[in-house]
Amino acid sequence: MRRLLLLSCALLLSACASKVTNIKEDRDTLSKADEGYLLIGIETNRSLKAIYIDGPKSLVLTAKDIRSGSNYILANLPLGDYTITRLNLSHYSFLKFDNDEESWQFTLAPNKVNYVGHLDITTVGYWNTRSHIVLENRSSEALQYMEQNFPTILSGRSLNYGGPGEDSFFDYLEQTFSQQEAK
Amino acid sequence: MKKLLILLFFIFPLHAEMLSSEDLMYSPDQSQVKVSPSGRWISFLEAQEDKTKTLNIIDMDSMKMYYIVKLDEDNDFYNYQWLTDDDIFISVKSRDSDDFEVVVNVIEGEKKPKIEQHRVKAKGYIVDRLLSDPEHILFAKPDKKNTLLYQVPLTALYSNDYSSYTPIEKGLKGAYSYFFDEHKQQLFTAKFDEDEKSLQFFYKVIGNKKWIPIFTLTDADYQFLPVGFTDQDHLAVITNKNTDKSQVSLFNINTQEITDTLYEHPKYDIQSAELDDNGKLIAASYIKHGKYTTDYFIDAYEQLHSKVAEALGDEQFFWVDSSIDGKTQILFSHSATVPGKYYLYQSETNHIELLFSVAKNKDATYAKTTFFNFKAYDGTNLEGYLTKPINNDKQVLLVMPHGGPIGIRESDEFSPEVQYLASRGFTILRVNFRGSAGFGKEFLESGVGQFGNLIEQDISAAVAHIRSQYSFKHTCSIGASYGGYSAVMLAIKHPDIYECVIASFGIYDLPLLYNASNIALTKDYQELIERTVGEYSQDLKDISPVYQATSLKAPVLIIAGKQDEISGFEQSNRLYYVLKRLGHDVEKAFFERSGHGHQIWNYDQIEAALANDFLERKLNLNSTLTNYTESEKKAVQRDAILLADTFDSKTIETDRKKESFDYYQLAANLDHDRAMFNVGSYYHRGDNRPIDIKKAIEYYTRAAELGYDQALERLGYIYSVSKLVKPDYHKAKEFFQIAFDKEHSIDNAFNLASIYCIADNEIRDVDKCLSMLNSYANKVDNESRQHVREQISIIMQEGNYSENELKGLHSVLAKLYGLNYPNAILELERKGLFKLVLSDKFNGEPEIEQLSKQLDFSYKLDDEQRFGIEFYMNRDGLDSRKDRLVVFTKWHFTPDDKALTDFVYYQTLWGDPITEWSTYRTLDETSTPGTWTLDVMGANQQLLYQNTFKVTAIN
Repeated sequence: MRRLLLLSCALLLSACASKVTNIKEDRDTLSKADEGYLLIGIETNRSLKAIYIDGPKSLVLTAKDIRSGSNYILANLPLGDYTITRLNLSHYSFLKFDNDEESWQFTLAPNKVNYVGHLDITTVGYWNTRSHIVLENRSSEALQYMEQNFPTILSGRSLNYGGPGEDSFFDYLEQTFSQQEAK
Repeated sequence: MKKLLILLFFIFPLHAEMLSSEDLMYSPDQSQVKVSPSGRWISFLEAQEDKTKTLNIIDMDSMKMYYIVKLDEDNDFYNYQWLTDDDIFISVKSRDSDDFEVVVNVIEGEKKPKIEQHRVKAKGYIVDRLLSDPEHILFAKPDKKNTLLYQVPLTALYSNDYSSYTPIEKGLKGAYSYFFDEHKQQLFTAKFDEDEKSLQFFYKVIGNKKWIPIFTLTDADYQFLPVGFTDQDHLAVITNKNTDKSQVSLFNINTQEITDTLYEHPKYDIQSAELDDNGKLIAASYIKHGKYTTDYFIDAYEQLHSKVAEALGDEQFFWVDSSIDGKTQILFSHSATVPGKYYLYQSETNHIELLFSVAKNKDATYAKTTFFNFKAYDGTNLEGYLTKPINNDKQVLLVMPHGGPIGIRESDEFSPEVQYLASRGFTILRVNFRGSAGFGKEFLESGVGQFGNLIEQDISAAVAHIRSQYSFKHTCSIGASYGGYSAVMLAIKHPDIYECVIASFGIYDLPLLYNASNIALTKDYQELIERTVGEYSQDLKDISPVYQATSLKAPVLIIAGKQDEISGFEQSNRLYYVLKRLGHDVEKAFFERSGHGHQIWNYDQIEAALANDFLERKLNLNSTLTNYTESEKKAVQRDAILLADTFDSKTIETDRKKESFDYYQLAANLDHDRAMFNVGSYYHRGDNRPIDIKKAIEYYTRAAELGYDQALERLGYIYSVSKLVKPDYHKAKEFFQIAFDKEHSIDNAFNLASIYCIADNEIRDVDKCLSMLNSYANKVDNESRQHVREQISIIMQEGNYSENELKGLHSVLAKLYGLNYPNAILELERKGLFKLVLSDKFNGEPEIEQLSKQLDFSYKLDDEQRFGIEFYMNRDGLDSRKDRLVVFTKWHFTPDDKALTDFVYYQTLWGDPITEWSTYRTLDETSTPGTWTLDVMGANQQLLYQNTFKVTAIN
């Protein structure tokens, strides 16, 4: 019975992924020790249908989070490594992220607001669509967004870069400005 | 007395003018200048003032010019070529439909040539025009597998049916485009190898079976540029495969080896070379002291070049096109002080004449550039270029590092940016530091990994050299791309020298280059970065401005494009963020629509104005000439209006929005018509200052006098319908009449007609009003529709009409909106405060949700809110979708703050009784609390609905 349930869950992958709850209020609500904040930017020239992410929890970003233009998603999620797996552009077309050389992964570390990058999606064409997708490091813009919209959460936790490659920008800011403020 | 006057005239030379950025940063009007094969015609493309583009020809006998093809705003020329002495093949880019091609046949006529046009329907491309065979051209038709080549008459282009023709060649499988050398009857093509990532070139003589491989291009670290065949087995190529500098070498096709050197220069890379029809080397060119220099090896060519050079006063020139017999030639002259001139040279008469200059300002003089040599601190010989202002020298040195830094170079050529700055009194220093192109491979490699190190040391050695020869009051650094990085690094390393920095499209966090995105992490990309910056290490932070920001003392202006995919916008945003947070004097100009550089000239002009303005303020130059010449006034005015528009712009992010008024005022003081109008608007709206209607009217009037037509409309509106002054229909009519006399546009006609209808004194003339409305009603188009809706609403609500007059108006409404039921009643559905809610579903329809039924509320910006009413219109009898009803709305706003003024908004709504109607108001950050009264009036001037909304707060 269990095997059958597991099988049907695997087949209906989309039904098992949970919708990400985009945090709206500037209140630090993180209580569980095994959860962390995810901050991801989605930049798209066209409204998209869904984005699937695999990890300690399977997630899906739905249409209202990925409208054309600039979107940010702040959510609290279980810690660990996540991979972006699929993008549904519309009712008819989707893209799979299966190129191993391009790392579509990010990591959520404890006690921090984890900025994991900006998913920049440019789609052209109507009958035959082509999309150019890249996961970019736009840390300073993400920081400015947090300062404007979630200053309380930001004041309680430091920002951590969990996206592609390595970056000491946030650490540098912490060192430079905590020194300054201490003065 | 006379003698003294002459002496004085020479002691005080004339001003060399300050050049307007409009006259420096633009695309030339004339381009693609060619000669017809027989030399009968000269042809060129020209951009016209009315935004159309033309293909022109000049009759060489009469020197008369004719327009033979004209394209409207929606189309543009790609290119064109003469196929025969009378036929021109033209490729057109279309904005709204598919690109297309035409052949134009030029037929000599008595008075002027006649033109016949044929659409090209054949799918493929012209390989060669076969000039020696006047009946045919060589045409390629690619299909799924192969490309077939046909030798066909010109008329074959007009149809895509090639079933009656036999191809002369089948083409090479998997190969790309084909080229043809008519002289040797040889066909060339290239094939791309996906795995090797190489491009292999082949050739064959038409009729032979086999394709013979000539050479292969790979992504190697050396240059290999074929020039042409010297004989059956050899190619002349420009290469540095086995040498430090690029030279003209002999390449054996059979052995695929470089065998001999044909020509080399001891100091410089060879840029190009030319062979004659027999494969003999005619000339080779290189860049010496920043100028393109050609060495000739055949006397006849050398002599011709010298003759022409002498005739042009030693200005640099290039051969552009020639008739087949060589008797008629076009050449193009341009240099650091010559934006560009096209000349006609006729060899038989040895006569040279100017065709046209591409310079906008024909009388302008340009600052000269002096070349100099100097030694770097380690003894390396380097080149630099210094451009000094002609006069009005501010004694300010601008150190301008170039981009790259590897493989780019400075040349002594025309630079709009340098001329803009020099004409404002600045001295510009440019350097070919190690890593620059043109000096060999070793010199190129020596710049790799020298970011913030030897490159800046080289520049500093040049600066020291120049500062030892000239005295300057101030020194600043200015650069783009790598130059932006270098400009900031120079100021960090030498805070005692650099007083300000302007950095555009730069990089400021070197480790970020290697970690910018998941694509940047791929092997190919990492190798690309390493080739320039060197190996990745965290030590790169030591030479990254973002991490060394505390060492920067000078004020900085950061310019960036948000679409920049080469440097990355994040680089500039980081530097700005860090400096701002440190409390450093930093300013920004972030262009929403620009990438790594600007796509439109207007933005280049804005960038120049921002740079000049920054230098003026940070160095306290206080340059204001008291007596401007006409051209100086134009230049300063242009800078001021560009800045004013920029600070007000939604697509360019600066922190200086509040200053746009000051710059509009500056431009208005110099009699700029739109600036004058804008200043009036600021006083009219009370934007950041108390409302001053008198001043508003004063500025609008001056703008109208300067010819700004919108000012006439604004004044007419103020004196008729606005609540700002007592209505003065004489004045209103006067202004609208001037506008109408200038241009009988639909807007102007409706404006004037409305006065005749609503005036309450001797101006009133409803017959005239109706007559104008009737004659213009049928002409209303998409552009004028919005304005007409407003005017009609004003006419209906603000005039008093007899029954007959009303009937006349109904007939106008029937023409405009199909009105067939003037009597109708309004049935209210909802009223109050609403908001637009986007659907959660993908592509779902948005909904309008009611927030409050109260007419008293606070309004929240950023929440897609609106207030108003939703209603249905009902007429007597059975409703049908074909019915047309019309109503007029008036929203009258009275602010709570008595220092502000009332506003009234008029609108016309029309539709059927089945569909829901609505009228809403939305507010923005300029809105203030107050009362909004809504009147809805029917076509018989009956009041259908009235209510008042009170906005208590806006947040």
